[in-house]
Formats: sequence, structure tokens, C-alpha cells
Amino acid sequence: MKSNDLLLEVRNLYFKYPGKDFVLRDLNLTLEKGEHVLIIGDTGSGKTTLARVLTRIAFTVYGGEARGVIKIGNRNLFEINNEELFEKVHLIGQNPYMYFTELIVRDDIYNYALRIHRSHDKAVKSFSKVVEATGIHKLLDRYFYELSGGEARRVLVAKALISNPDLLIFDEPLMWLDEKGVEDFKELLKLLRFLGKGVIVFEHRFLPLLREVDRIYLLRDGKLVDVTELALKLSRTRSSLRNDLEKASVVNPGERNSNNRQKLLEAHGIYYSINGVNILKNIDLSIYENDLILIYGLNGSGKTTLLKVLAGYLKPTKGIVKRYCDIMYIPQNIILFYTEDSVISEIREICRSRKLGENCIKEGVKKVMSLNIDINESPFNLSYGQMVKLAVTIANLSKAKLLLLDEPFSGSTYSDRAKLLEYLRGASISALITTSNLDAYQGYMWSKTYRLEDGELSELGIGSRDTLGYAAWLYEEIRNGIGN
Amino acid sequence: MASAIRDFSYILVYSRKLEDFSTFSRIMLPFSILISLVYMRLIFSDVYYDILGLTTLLFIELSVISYFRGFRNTLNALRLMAFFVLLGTLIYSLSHFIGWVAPEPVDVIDGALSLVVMFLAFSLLFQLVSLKEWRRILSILGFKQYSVLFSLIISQIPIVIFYASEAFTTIRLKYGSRKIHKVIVPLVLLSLQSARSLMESYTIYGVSHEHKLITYRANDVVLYVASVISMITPLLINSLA
Repeated sequence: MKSNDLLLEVRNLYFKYPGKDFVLRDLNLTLEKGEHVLIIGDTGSGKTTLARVLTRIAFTVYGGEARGVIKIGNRNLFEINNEELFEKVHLIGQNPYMYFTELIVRDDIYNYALRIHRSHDKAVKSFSKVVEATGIHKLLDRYFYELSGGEARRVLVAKALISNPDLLIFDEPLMWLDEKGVEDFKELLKLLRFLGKGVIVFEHRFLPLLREVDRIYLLRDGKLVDVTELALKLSRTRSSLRNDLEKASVVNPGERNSNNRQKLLEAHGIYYSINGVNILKNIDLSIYENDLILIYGLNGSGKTTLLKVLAGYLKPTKGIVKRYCDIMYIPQNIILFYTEDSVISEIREICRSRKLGENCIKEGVKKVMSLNIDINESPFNLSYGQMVKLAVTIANLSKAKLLLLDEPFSGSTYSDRAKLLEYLRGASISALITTSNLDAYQGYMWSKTYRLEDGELSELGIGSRDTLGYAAWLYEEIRNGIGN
Repeated sequence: MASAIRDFSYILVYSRKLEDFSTFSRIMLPFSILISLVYMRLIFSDVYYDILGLTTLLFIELSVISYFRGFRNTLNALRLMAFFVLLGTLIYSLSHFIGWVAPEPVDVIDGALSLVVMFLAFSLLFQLVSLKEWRRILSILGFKQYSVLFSLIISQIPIVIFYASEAFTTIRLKYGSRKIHKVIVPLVLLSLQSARSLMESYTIYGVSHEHKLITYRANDVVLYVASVISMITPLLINSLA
């Protein structure tokens, strides 16, 4: 490899946030021009930190400290000025909506072009070029908050291309993306390959991307390990393994018989409209004790609205919802669930608010400790997977019989998703869960599965696809393969 | 509650049709209404004339909102009006109940209308002037640094409102309506997170102050006429009195 083909070189990198331990330890990574790399790893393993380090944001915004060498092209990262750096490297973060500085997409991209080129004519020229390359014509006159997650990321890629960067870094680009969004992102990667751009993707939900990249790394214990060969070899075993994993865990069909179980909720002929537009149409749904119900729908299909209608927070335009038990709602942005400064305070508060006494607190402490969560820790410091599990435990403690979980799998590894489902099943919790992706589907776990499309609910036909059990197995094998 | 908050946020979002008019004509209208409002307070002693003047201003505001932002935002504006009228009625009823000197119903209507007209005039400053124009104007006035802050905050309002709506649903179902004040904690934390993300965004993309203000458009005459009507309305009504 010629040295001038090297786009990025990281050698013996150590990094820590102020007052914390090192997150990255002796990390090495090289990237050639036009190369595409996927980095996987546990929640909290340092993926986002590495993305921030490579764009220097970890230092300028978060005040971190580092030692080691980071070179972009042949130049030290710290010797490049801000403007030059962000013309060469672009970060597209987890929440794409935070990267807009204008409300209308056209204004947002044009203003960035104007800032880079400092001339109206040049800005218009480069604006037209990136719009053409990324095919976002139809999105230009929309408000950014009206875009779906996939559309917002596509717009941000267009914006990033304005400065013609050599390297694009995506931090969990598939988070919140439905299956169509994932296909769009794969197309985008093809475009970036065609344009010769280097790409680093940090992603939990790696299954759809395994064959879209040149190299795969696992970030563990602050280091990067090349797992390309192992991951591809293991992924070839999928067809025989899928069936075995499915058969191994078939639930006793008798358990799903609704006759012997208490009805928790029923909805008949539900319509919900905003300004005359029907978001939900003629929804019929019954939920029984111990049901785990999955509702799949693309972004913007009305899943969150349906949950709010069922919870009684939104009043249906037409139809009836009958609730026979307490219901709790766990939002996609899990931070919004917590209100106290420690886990123990959360337990105390929920028990007191429901007048459940000291036994409730004791039971809560026991349950939380069995999840390996420190009761004195702030809930806001827990990993995403732990936050969801804690929320489920708190809801269960409150005697709410039905939980409504909005996209609880976003931001979790496949293993964490599988563990959450097993936890729900094991604790006999009744829940309705929405999801916008089926790339890891665990058919046998669900009592019923539905598709929400154009506001209408129908039975979901899954067909042949990779299961969550398979994806979790693959991820664990990669981790263990490295460990052993 | 959640949908009301969301609809309210849309009142602060600028229109897609701004380029049809010059920046100056768009700024002039809300300022004309605000000046007129102050002027009416000073010259009118008769509450009925005041209501007549306010209704004219409200009609102008709703027509402009309807053109620039469509029917939905006009409805939101009317809902806001209903809210202020309701608030006035509540104060009126309570006054009777607890023995205070109650305002006359016509004064309640007058007060509610004044608030609505004033609020909508301020909201027009956001609906009719884009963030890039605000940045340019504030830079010209010597507030370049604040213009960045201002534009970043305004650009995130719809997203923050969406999260607020989610938080209200969650906490209400978790603790019930009596402890809804607890919603403050996750919202403050989320705001801190968002602030850091915005800082990232600003570091990567920055904001441009190079935008040129639009000085002339043929359509401007419509807004100038509306501004003049706003300004002379109090004078005309006063001459009738």
C-alpha cells in the first residue's frame, strides 16, 4: 500500500473523557481511500467515542484527552484547522435531526454550500451536484422534522458531500430505520463507493451490512480486532442454523389459547385522524394476559400514535378502546421514562405513587439487583439495554399489567434484544411492542404479529428471514471467537 | 395536551413561500401591527372601538397566516384565540365566585383579543422571516454571535416539542396527572444532550451569515397595503368615534 493511498491512520490511541477511565486503549486502525469499514461492538464499548475522536469533537466539545497518533491523509489530526478537517471528514451522528441548522432542507444544504464556497454561484453549482448525486429532489422543500430517519440521513449525506470529503463516518445509521430505510442506506453506500469515498460505519444492527463493506472490526476492551473472515464464515452457516434455533425454542401452543386468560385491552373500529387525514383506520385488536404482541410498520406508519390511542392518551376519532388494567408506556427515547436521580429512588417513587408499601420496594430492589444493576446508580448512566430492562421492571413493579413499548430494540445489540425478549417472556409480562425492522425476527416469541401499513392493521406474513436468535448467536460467536 | 403543544410549535416555524416577498415587506407587517396595537391602547377609551380595531388586525393576521402557512396554522391560531378567551372567562367566573371586582365580559373579550393579536404579531416575525434572514439582520445589527445561538435554538423547537409530547404521555401513565411536574427532569436532561449535539453540529457545519436579504419583489405591494391598513385602522376608527 502506498502511503499516499492511506486515508486514515490511527496508532496506539488512548482516549478518556475528563475524570473517567480510558475508553479506548491502544487502538489501531488504517483506512485506504475508498475503503468501507464496519465497526461493531457492545453498547458502551466506545464506538461513538471513536467517531467523535476521529472528528476531533471528543476534544473540542467533550474536553477529552488522548495519546497516540491520528493522521488524516498524511497530516496529524491536531495540526489541521477546523474548516479543513470538516472538508475532509464528516460525521453523521445517531440522531440525524440534530444536524440541521435550518428548518427547510433546501435552505440547510444551500447555506452550508454558501459557507464552504463563499460565493452564490459556486454554492448553487455544488448544491445541484449533490442533490443530483443523492436523488433528494423531492425532499428539498420539506421541513427537516417532517423527514423520516432514513430521509434525514440521506439529506445529511448530501450536505456532507458539499465539501467533497474523503471520509464519511456514520454512527449507528440504521437506528430507527425501517426496512426500506435500510435498503436506501445500502444504496447510499454503493453511491459513496462509486464516488470513491472512504466510509466507517459504527452499527449494532450489522446483519444487513455484512456484505456491503470491505472489512469488519469488533471494538472490545478499547481495541479494534479484525473479524472480517470470522464474521463472513459464520454468516454462511445461516440456513441450516436458522431452523435449528427456531425449533429449539417452540412455545407450548396451549399457552397461547386466549380462552383461559384475562382480557387486558380491546379496541374496536379505531380511527384516528389529524386535520382530516386518517392516521389509523378501522383498527381491531385484543390483548390478553401473557400476550407478547409485535406490530411492525415502516417509519411514519402510525405505530406511536396507535400506542398512545391504546394507552388512552389520544382520543380516537371513531371507535372504542376498552382497558381492563393499568397500562404503562415506554417511549423510544428511553431517557424520557426516568425522573429520579438513582435507581433506588425510581423504585421508591413508583411504589409510593401506587401506594404499594415497603414490600414493593424490597421486591423492586431484589429484581433490579438480579439484573446486575447498581441501585445507587443514576438511571441516566445505564446502558440503553439496561435502561429498557429497568423500565420494564419498574412498570412490572407498579402492577401495570400491560406494557406498551415503542421501538425498544433501537440502539441495542442483537444479544441485548434477545435477552430483553427472553426477560419479557420469562417474567410473564404482557406487552405490545412496535418495531420498524424485521432483520432479526424471533417468530416463536410472539403471541401475535401484525403489520401496520397506511393506518391499517393486518396479520404479518414473515416468510423466510434471519431470526433474532440467529443474529444474537452470530454476534456472540464473533465476540467469543475473539476471546478464545 | 401533547397535540396542542405540537400545534403551538408550528406557529413559530417559517413558511416555504417567503421568497415570493422581500424581507423588508415581510418584517414591516408584524411591526406595523405591533405599533398599531400600542397606538390603539393610547388613543381608544371606548372598549367597543378597541374591539373593532383589534378584529381588523386579527383578520389581517389570519389572512397572512392562511396564505403563508396554510389552513392548519390558521386553525392553530384560532385555537390559541379560544384558549385566551377561555382563560379570560375563567378569571371572570372566579372573580365572581371569590368576591373580587369582576371585569365586564366585554373587557374580557377585549383583553383576550389584545393578547391574541399581540401574540400572533410576534409569531409572524418567526413565520415570515427565515432563520438565515434573522442571522443576517442580527449580524448587521452587530449581534453576530447571538444570531448563531438564536438560529440553533429556533431550528430545534419542533423536535424539542415532539419530545415534550412523548414525555408527557410517558410520565402521565407512569405516575398519573398529579405528578406530571416530574416531566421536567427528563426534559432538562434531554435538552442538555441536545445542546451538546447542537454544539457538535455547529462545530461540523457552522452557520452562514452570507445570505443576502431580498430587497424587492413585485408581490410586495400586497404586504405593504396590509401594513398600511394596519397602521391607519386605529386612525379611521378614531375619526368615526
